[in-house]
Amino acid sequence: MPPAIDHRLLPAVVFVFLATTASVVVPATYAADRPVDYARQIKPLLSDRCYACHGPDSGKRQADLRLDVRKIAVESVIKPGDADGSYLVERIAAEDPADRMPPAQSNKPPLTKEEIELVRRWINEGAKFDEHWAYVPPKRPPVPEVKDTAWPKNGIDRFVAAGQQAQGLSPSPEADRRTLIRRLSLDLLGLPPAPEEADAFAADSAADAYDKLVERLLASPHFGERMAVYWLDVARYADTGGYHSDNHRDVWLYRDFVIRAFNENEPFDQFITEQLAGDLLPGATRWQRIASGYNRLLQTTEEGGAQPKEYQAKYDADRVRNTSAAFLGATMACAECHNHKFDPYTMRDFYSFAAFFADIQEKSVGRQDQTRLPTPEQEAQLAKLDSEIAAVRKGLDAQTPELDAAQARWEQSLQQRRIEWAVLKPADAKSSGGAVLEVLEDGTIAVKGPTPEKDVYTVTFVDTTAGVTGLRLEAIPEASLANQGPGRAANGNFVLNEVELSIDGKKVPLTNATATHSQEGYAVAGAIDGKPETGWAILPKTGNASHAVFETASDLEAGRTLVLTLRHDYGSAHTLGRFRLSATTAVRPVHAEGADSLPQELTAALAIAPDQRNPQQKDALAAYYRSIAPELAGVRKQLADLEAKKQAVLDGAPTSLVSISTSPRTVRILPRGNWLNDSGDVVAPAIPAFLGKLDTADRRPTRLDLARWMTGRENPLLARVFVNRLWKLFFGQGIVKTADDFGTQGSLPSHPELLDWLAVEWIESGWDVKHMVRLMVTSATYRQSSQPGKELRQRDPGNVWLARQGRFRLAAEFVRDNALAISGLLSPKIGGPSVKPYQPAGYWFHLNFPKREYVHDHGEDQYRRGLYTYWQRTFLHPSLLAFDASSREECTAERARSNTPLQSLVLLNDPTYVEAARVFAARILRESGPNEPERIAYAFRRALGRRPQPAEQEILSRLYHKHYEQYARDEAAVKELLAVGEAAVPEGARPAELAAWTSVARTILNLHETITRY
Amino acid sequence: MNLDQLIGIRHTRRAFLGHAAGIGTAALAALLDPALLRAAPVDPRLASLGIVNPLHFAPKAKRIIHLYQAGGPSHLETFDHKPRLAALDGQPMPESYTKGQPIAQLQGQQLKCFAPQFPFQKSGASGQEICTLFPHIASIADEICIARSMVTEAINHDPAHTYMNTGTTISGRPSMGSWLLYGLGSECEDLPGFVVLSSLGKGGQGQPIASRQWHSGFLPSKYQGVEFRSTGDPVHYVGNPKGVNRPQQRDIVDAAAAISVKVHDHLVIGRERVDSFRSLGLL
Repeated sequence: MPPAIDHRLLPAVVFVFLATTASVVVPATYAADRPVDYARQIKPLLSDRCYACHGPDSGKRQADLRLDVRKIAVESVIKPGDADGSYLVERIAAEDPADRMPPAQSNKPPLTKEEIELVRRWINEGAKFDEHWAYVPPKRPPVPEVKDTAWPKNGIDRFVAAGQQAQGLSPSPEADRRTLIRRLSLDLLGLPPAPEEADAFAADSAADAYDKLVERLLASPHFGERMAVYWLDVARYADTGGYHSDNHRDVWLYRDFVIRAFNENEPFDQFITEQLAGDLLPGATRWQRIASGYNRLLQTTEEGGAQPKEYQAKYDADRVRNTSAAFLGATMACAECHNHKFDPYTMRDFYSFAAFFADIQEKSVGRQDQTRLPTPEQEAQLAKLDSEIAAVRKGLDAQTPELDAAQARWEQSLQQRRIEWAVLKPADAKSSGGAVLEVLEDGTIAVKGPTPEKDVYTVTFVDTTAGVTGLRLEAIPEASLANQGPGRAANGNFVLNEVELSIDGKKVPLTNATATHSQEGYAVAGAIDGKPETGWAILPKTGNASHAVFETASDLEAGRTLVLTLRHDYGSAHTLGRFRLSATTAVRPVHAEGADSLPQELTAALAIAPDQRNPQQKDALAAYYRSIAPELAGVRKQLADLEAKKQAVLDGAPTSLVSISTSPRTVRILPRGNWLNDSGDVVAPAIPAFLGKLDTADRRPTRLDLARWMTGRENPLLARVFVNRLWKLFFGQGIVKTADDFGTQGSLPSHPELLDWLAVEWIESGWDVKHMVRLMVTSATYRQSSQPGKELRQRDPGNVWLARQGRFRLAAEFVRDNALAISGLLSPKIGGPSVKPYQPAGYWFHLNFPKREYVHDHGEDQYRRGLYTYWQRTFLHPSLLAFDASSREECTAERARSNTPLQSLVLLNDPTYVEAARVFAARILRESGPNEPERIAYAFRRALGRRPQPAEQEILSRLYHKHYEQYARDEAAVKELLAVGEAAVPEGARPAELAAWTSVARTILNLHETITRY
Repeated sequence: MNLDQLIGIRHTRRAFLGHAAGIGTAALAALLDPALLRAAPVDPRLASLGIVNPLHFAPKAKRIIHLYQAGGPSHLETFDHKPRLAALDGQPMPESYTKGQPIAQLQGQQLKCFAPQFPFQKSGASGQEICTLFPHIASIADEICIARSMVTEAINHDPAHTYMNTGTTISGRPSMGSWLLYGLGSECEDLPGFVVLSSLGKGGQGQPIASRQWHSGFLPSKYQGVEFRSTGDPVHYVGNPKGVNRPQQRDIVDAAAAISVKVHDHLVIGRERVDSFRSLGLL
């Protein structure tokens, strides 16, 4: 338990909050003989107690006094060198609460005696205002000399040793080999080591055994996955749009870019540049365009009635929040409505920053357009198809006398053309969802009765005539339907997802769908494309008649029964409420009204005598005729086949959201963040003013300029922010504990020189991420035991001085990976679309527009790593959520590490873990020696990397025997248990034995030790 | 567990959560004031299991039930009588009312006033005006508080739900229930302090809702609302796996616990141990 805090030290306290250990606050004292440090000791004090009224925010400023700007402060309330003569001291030290600052109504505690003394000393020492430490570019500090020269292995250790030395602490001994390899594997790959690897490492006496292990892990393709888990939280990667209907969008290529970048050790400045502005790089590659999808990862809406302007403002703010938090550790979010209260970010900074992204093409409201990104292999196929298409097209364009004559005949026939429709009267009409389909006298079908969410209508006609070239479906309004229909949805709409035709049981393809009107995004072609997710709808023309026409691919033969199937898959009763069918035998093309007239210029050209037409008109008519001429059907078919092949390749190409630059929107300062208020200044892109100015002369700065500044030496934040986060990955907490706030409200670095040394080392290494990881994990600091002695725990409960390693629970994704890896189920496949592991039924119950059903994956995709889990923002997979995975709605630089009952329930009962246990049990039986102690020992080695103690052996042995006896008598229970999950039960397994070992395996997978990295 | 340990735990949680919640160091210094920790609470009624300790007021309420009725009848039809609105029924909405307001898809259409469809009645000694469709609520008019002062800037479903439940339209913030649990704590050591029951309206739920409406945001996930479901397991993963009976499940829990290595904390909801927070921060 932590000691009580010594109150006297509070004024100079460095607050350190650990998510990982049971400790709290450790005072980093600054000796009385050292000058007072403004940035570390005074500014946080003033910021907390005074800035709210006497700080950067001009809107709330009182008495025209600023304490954040020296010039103003020393002209009014501070007399440098004379604390007694300074009005500031008089007010903060006032005995009478009525005079004392901060005033009682501010709810801020008065300064303590020690704090006041500190302020006095600072003023007496000259009241120097040094800048906030994080806003000064880092310089490489000298590596300190230390007494114990044997311990340090690299620069990191010397800084750490110096800190410990000052505290009178000494480092813990190096952890044992088996702990080290497990720690390294979990830290660098998020996966446990195989027992053979652990054995080999434990037995390797070579001096460079450890270094070789680190190199092997750094070279593993799973390293990128491990790093991606962290980065995807920061960049808020998810598979859905987040707002309202929270629909799917494809962005998994971005995830794969991140994995690839870390695996290939892409220099971090390039990594950042590609994300902010990959599309703007000259000759942007496919991966660079994919990387620029970073700017599209934000939450977007498709909600009907959402106001574009409001959402554009949300998107602007989202990008500022994320980019500033991800790359600068800045809480710029505060400056959306007012100047930042504590840091020098102004509202102008906020909106100027937003303006960098004003060129990104996107929909403010609605489904975002996906960009096809064919793989290199697909690109090659497309090029080949394009050249074949060009060759065939030549044949189509060739002019012959026969063709000219045919065209003349066609032109004549058009003069008298009119399509006759004959109503088809159904012999029968059924609903799969329980609705009642009533056939009226005129062939109209009126839908009545129950209103199912989805429905399939089957309409049967008998003895139909031969030669049918097209079918017409009329959607008919009706007063009794909502909005007069013609659909049964609450707004009168319907979505016809699929129309299928068969004659006497034989399917007849439908082609060339046309409609009098189609809703945006619901073109009628979707009704015959075989895809249940597309379909024909008619908003906003509800209450009106619409019709669609489908050509038959070939003239119909006379049929005894013709069956038309109308599928409505959208949900929420988007089904037809009243409709009628007709047929025609007219010559193709047969089109819906309005859609059947020729393009206007062709009609105009036809009206002119052939010899009077100008060349454009002649060409246009000839081109059109070629598109329908029966003589060219063969060539067209050839062309269509090639086009179809091309389309198939394109359809098979993955898509993503990427940045596409267009002319920038106007961005204004929104007073108080109010998007309705257009009175604010129009702003151009700019970095926060106090950090400098981009020099682009008259040119409007772009995202690429932003990226160049971001990764330049003058930006004081990026390198520090990210090395700190790397540090957190390998030690459990950052050097700056607030990984997401490097402002004055963030905590101060426990080892400021080390942080700067790491930052500069990184920049000078060429932003080499693996170099930094290597540096950290090969340090003696990293290799220490995580076992705190009693004394150490008391003296440094928060492990601020790093006299031991941290120990912490695995991240949510790795809890899963670890169990799957131990069982042997884990798929090593890297990348690709997100996957769906088992999930409790009905968890997506509340998703709407459309309603969705979660269908889990089978085979290999069921056993993929946690980071590939489908990231549904509004309903993140409950097992991940229980272990503190982020919903990725906002930037998460630091996940909470909590400990809840739900976590235990997941490990005990989630089918993923039960299945992993029974497969682990089979593995134990398969891979270990035949007797029971060997099996238990094997299980321990595989899961925990160590041998069981005799007592542990005993407990598991007893459990095994007890459950074996029970299962041997309960065949039904065994059967049920072994049926959890889809993995096969091995041939020849003895079921009761397997079931009892499953109990042992479940126990081991539930151990705290199993999900903890030591 | 003795008092020192308890205090230590509180203290740890507070520091930990204080940080996680982004509370400034000033506020924390106050929270961490050792005087508060050392001195016995002045009034035992003000003792708290949450971060606010001692409580600012002696609590009267034991629990809070928040019925969040997305898609329910309008306040204008239920508890917020506007006589002027009734008088203007059928007339165009005054421009002073609509000018500059976000009115979504109604933009550009003529907006008309619509009077309440059922009369209101003064109820109880307090004379609260309540729609006559709610005679039972009217009968307790003097025992309930009706807040008629609420305003919102969010007019679309999604941000409005988020605003109503978290206080901001920006996603990723803790919900009200999470804040309450965090601030006031819960007497239930072994059961979730914040539970959510979601329902489906009679006519089918028309709008999506999102778990962010009971999410703990940047607070640790233990403050998340635990959703009780009407189908399947009432709580995710609460049921034993098929083929494992309750004593067997218990055996596994006990075996894991006995393997001196501390089993994952809080193994089963409802178990009677008080050290549920012991490993918090010790992971």
